[in-house]
Amino acid sequence: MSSNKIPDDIQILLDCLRSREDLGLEEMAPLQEWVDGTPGGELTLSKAIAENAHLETALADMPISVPKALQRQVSYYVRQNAEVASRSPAKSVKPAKPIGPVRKAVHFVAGLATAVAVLFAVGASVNYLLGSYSSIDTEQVAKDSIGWVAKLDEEKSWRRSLEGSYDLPNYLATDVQVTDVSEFDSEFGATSAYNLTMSNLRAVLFVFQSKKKFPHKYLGKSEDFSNESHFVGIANDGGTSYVLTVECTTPSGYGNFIGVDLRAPPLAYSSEPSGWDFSTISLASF
Amino acid sequence: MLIAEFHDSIYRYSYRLTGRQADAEDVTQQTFLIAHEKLHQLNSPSSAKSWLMTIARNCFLKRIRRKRDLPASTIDIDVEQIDQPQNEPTETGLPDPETLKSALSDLEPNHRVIIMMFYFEKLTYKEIAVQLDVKIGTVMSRLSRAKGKLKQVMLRHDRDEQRIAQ
Repeated sequence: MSSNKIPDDIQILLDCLRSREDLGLEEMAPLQEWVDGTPGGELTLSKAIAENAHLETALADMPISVPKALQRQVSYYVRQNAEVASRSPAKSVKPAKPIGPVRKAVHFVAGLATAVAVLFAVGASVNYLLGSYSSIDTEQVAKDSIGWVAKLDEEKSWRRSLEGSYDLPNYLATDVQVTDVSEFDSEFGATSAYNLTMSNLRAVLFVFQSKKKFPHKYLGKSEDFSNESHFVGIANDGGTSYVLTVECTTPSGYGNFIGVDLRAPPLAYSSEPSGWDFSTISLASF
Repeated sequence: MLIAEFHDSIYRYSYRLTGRQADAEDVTQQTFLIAHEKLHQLNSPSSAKSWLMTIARNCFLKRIRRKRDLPASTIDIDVEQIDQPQNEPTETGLPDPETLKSALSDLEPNHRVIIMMFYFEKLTYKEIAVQLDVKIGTVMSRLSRAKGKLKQVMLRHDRDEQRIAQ
């Protein structure tokens, strides 16, 4: 039977039919009526059911191999995420609502905590105004770093050198290799740029000394950004700051440059096995 | 425990949706991160797999909404990740996996999702309507259209292969 003899509305019902049992459904009443009143309708029905069953089987049997390290990686990310969540006040679990005298006590403690928090905030503001403490806008740094990468090829005033002034951080993957080092003056002063490009992924690690602190802020999940073209990781170790910029569209691309035990994507995290504060952000195209 | 039991099936499901190893890995990771955060929403252990699939599907839909503006040429398929295809047509009339895989990846993501929900997750069109928040009639016509497209693409693949073989 050629398909052009089947009315469109009936064809839709045939495509949505999983078995003969579905014919009892209210929506399928027109189909049952058509089958009963059409020569060859029963054959068309049988073919449609068989076709749907074949497609179902074929989709289920489609062979796809699973990466060997996937379970370990996923477990690691989940564990890291749990640690981050436990440290973040926003993620903390709200206590059960107290009643009576207990509630009063809790209100007192909450009030006290608020007062302490306000004192801290005032203190921090004063420190900030006095210049003894200031934080860096990590998103701005990430954007800056992408600008630095773009200039790498064209900036003639940058000083080329064979060896950088810094040791590479130990969170980099073991197969990462430095192919080129440049030095230049960024917004943060003398900055070294280590070219780590591999496997067609453009990657540069920027290192500079800074008294400013990167806030312990997890800028986030990659889905918060659209059309991402870069992933940027930022870390502090004492007074040394590291900015790793990788031109890629997925966290996996970025993950190529990070040691297996420290791979962060897709969720930013803080890992401090050796005093690192590490966060990962993905950015829109500039 | 969830990861150990379901990471492979969620990865395979993600691969069917995305068509790429890297994207499938990301969707899988994202799925388990979200699952871990929202574990309290899982009503029964027996429904864990379908719950995880729903999360994975939502992650995928969110990704395609973000990438809607990307040119089609940026969406490539990692064919090496597919095991050796069985190109011989089977006696049962099953489409060969490689043709089906190619045809599936040629579909629009929204069509691919609905095909997967109906044929792979085995959801009814009523359940699909609830999950996608559209009317049942819309699901049925979209499913029919997606299936028609899939058949067309598979037919084209078959013809191409025959032409090459000649």
